[in-house]
Amino acid sequence: MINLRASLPILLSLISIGCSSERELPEPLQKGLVYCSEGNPEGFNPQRITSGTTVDATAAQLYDRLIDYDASEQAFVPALATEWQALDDGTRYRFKLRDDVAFHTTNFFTPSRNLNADDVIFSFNRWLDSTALYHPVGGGSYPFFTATGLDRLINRVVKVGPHTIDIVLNNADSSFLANLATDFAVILSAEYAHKLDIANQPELIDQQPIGTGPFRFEAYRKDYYIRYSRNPDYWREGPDIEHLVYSITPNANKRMLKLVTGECDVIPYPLVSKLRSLNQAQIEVKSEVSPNVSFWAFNTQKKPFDNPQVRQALSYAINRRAIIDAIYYGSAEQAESVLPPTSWAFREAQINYQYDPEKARALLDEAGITAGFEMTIWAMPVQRVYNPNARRMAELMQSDLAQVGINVRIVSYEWNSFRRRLSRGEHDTALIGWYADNADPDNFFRPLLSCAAVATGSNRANWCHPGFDQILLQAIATTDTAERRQLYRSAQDLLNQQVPLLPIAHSMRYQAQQDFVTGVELPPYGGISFRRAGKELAQ
Amino acid sequence: MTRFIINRLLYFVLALWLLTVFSFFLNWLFPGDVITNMSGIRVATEAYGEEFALRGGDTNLFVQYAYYLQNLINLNWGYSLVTQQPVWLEGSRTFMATAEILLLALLLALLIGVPLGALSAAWYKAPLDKTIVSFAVGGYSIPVFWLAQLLILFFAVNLRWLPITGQIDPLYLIEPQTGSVLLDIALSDSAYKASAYQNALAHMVLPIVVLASLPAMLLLRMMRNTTVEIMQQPYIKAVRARGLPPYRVVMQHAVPNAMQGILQQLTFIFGLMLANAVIVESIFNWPGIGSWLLKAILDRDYPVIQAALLLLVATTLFANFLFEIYRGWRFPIVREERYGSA
Amino acid sequence: MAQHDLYYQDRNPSPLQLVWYSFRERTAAMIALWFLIILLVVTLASYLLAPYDPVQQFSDALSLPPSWTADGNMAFLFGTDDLGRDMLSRLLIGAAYSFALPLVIVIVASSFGIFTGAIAGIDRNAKYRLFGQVFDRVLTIPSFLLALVIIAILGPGLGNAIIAITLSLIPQFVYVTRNAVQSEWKKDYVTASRLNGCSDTYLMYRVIFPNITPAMVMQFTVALSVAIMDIAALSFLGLGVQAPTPEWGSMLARSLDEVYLSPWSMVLPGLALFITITAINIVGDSLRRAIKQRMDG
Repeated sequence: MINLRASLPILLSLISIGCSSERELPEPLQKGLVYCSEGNPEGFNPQRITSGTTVDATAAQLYDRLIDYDASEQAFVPALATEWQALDDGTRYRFKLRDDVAFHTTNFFTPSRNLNADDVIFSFNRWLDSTALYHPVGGGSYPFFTATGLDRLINRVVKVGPHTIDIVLNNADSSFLANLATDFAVILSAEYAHKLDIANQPELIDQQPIGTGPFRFEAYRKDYYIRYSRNPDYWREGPDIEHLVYSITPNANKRMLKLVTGECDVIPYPLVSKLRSLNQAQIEVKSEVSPNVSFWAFNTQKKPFDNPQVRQALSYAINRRAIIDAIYYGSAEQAESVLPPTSWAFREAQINYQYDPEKARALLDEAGITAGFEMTIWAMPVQRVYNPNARRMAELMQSDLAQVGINVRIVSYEWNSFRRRLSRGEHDTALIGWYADNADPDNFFRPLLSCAAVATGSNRANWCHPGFDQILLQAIATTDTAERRQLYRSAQDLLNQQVPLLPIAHSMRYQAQQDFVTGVELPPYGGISFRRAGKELAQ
Repeated sequence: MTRFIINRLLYFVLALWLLTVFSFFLNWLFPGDVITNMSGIRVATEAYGEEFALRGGDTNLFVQYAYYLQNLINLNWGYSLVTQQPVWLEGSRTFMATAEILLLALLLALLIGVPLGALSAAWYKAPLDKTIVSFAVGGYSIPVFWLAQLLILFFAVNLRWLPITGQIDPLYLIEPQTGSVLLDIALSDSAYKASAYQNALAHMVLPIVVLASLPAMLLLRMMRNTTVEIMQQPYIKAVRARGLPPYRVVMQHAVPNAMQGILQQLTFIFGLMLANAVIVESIFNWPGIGSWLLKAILDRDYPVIQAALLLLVATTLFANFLFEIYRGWRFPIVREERYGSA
Repeated sequence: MAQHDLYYQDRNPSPLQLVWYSFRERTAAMIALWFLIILLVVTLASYLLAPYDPVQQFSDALSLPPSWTADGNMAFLFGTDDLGRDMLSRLLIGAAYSFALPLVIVIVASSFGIFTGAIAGIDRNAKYRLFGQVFDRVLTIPSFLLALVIIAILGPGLGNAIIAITLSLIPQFVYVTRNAVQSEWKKDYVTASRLNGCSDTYLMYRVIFPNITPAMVMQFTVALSVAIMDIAALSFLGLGVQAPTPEWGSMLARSLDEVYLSPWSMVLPGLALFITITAINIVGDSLRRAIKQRMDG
């Protein structure tokens, strides 16, 4: 017995050499990087989705765009397009493409040619042209482009030369380039699509993706991992690491533990306060101001949430201050509008919806909502930048609402089921949020609250207000900033009064990583990029 | 013996058949379309018409059951409603992943429980015995999910000895061909097999220890109680009267006979472990059948629920069958019990 | 003149009493039993004893450690959780879900199971032998798995979990009762009563039942610890009790995110479960030994 007990630690440590705290990582671990992502991707084509989880997993890793946005320079910079110019009063843009860009060579596809104008036209037509062969593949829904109106803005994409294209717009639009630089406007391979079409497997285009990005797709196992390998033919400087793994870990606590045990190299949305209390010297926490908002959306197509008075009453019933203290631990500020205060179009709230249960009860009585009324709060199951723990937030709200005599049931599903059911409008109210894809304020309004977004399902309030839509359309039709600011301000006043959703908080964005990880950037807009990722191990 | 085996086999097949009938009717108990529940092919899709015909959607129950059984045997278990992947493929992999830790944990439980139980019996009512017994009572009263958490905190977070999720670090690029990570490493063309084995074993330690804790303590108690009982038998008294030291009496005469009772309980213990596997796998992200079932229940993925239940229950039945056969072969008295009076 | 002296004889203690005499000799068993009795009383009075509403959130006292630590506050004896809810109140009210509820479940399951088992025990009809064999195999499926099957059909939720656990416990009672009745049936004293012309009902209630009660009581304790474990496990996995109900298993599950900041929020519900189940198991084990002692004479 005693012998056994004495030898147990030795035995255990023998087994565990592979993952001890020393930096002598086994070779495969030195050459790869594990990113513990918070959920399953819905697919591998960011054109078709708006979920940040999917964008993080695909956009910057597998694909490139025509142009990129450099946040530090606040300017658009060349990517697949080397240069571009606006013609015909800004209704036609001409792009010149690089000719040295190869698509991925994988065990399921070998490209015979480099990127050319055909690929760009194919990629745009996928979501632009409803008669295109690939448009209906995967359901024919392209929420980002519908919600931003890009599909109505672009008239057509024309091939001018083998490496030159023109994008013809229906009218001049100030947000056009910003939208092209988002994670959604990626370029796919027309040759691969053609090959799949011949093989009669068009749906594989979004499941076994081919792009031009720094990493190639290797394998995906739902709930466990996505594996990428370095693209050796990448057209610009690529990553140091040979393999990139997304280890899917929805539980925030487990993600943090895995960072501590060294199973994760980088994790998004760490529980910052807890990580600090663990005092782990080898873990670095990065933070970045980020344009996002978490909100409580009311399904305005369901009774009684179609009544603005009910929505106002519920807004008064919630103690947002307390929620922010308990959920964000001081890493967020209370939201007054959907727009963060850093935006040039920000307008402070006219009605502040200070916590006032009596007023809430009075308003509910007026609206005919009696005590004992039951409703659901759908709390998203994953952490996002804007909300580190929606379920806990829902529990706090549950108790606030109980004070005014409303019984709340908290509903949650696996992330993809959750989003699917939300799009179908099964919820009464939902706790979710939005992360800006670009610097334009329009990005906070049209994808979230326009009538078009109701159809695509990204309008969680299912709120369609023609007057509001009119203001948004006027705002993008002009490039005059003063005029736009005026319009967005009146839009925010309307939202403040109608409360299709109650803005809760704007949060900082955090990421935690092992200190030997280098080059993993947190761009202020859009997802994460591993293009320059490496590991600096002391030899 | 042949008659015994045939008899047991008959009951096993009968129970299995009842299981398929039950799982067939599950499709009616689940909400939604019956054919969709069976096949995972949604109503409004093109493939639905084909599947409807294939599964005899417009015929009577008996014919439908025949089709169902046929599909079951042909391993056409339909597609997951969530991933649209073939259920059998994922099911067989998760099954192997579970089998791997389950068998190792059972082995560990036997290695801990049986010797400690015998030891305890040999020192019956001595302080050593009392210590072991109170340890065991605590050991099988501790909720597995709590134990798992305590071990994670201690071994993984404080000491940083062991990893906590999955079968192996995904950077080893081991493809899940069979589902059992040890086999998969052997089958892979990885250049780092030794290091991969080390990593995989480290991943296994915590799930196996947690899974083995409860059965080990149960086995310990059973072993002790049975051995103590046997020690009071006349033949043991005879041996002792001949002057054999107590230690040898226990080891040579009592323990082998006690093993028969232990074997009888193994079916029960196996079932218990299978149930605990659901909890342990979901805590340690082990891609086994238990966590697969749990996710399917939460996502209401009916084809998967059905397959996982079928596999889990069939496994318990099969294990029961095997243990009975082994017992019948090893201890002829078991056979006599069944036929002596009939 | 009173007639009871006419045929005076010592009244034999019933088998259950005999077992009790042996049981009460064991210190550990008595401590465990007293613990359970106190726990039951506390649970029944939990709404009176709990200092606060278990779902009331004190936003100025988030994650407060227990009162005996340096940062503790006497107002919250066991501290508060991450939402500022009083741990003591939650544990007390939680006992209703984690202890009293399983108790009710087991009472219901045992009534059904013992009744069915008794009928199956007396009915010597051969056609039931096949059924019995198949039934024995159903029993190899552990109750937790059966509960999962039922939850898979009904969907998650507390009500469904209760139904699932109740149903999953019944077969064990049927099995134990049937076997006990059958083995008693063959004994001479039963045969003697039968020859005396006692009806089956009389045989069952007055002759056999007193002799199998200890075995039933033991099965009851086994089922109770299984039921407690199952309901906690289901809630831990998110299939049973839903927020904000303070069941111990679900308290444990949601405390995991907070375990570094507030370890007590994980330790306390786990400990509550552990101690309760240990107590039940000790009572069960002691009963088993007491019964054996009686059998051995």
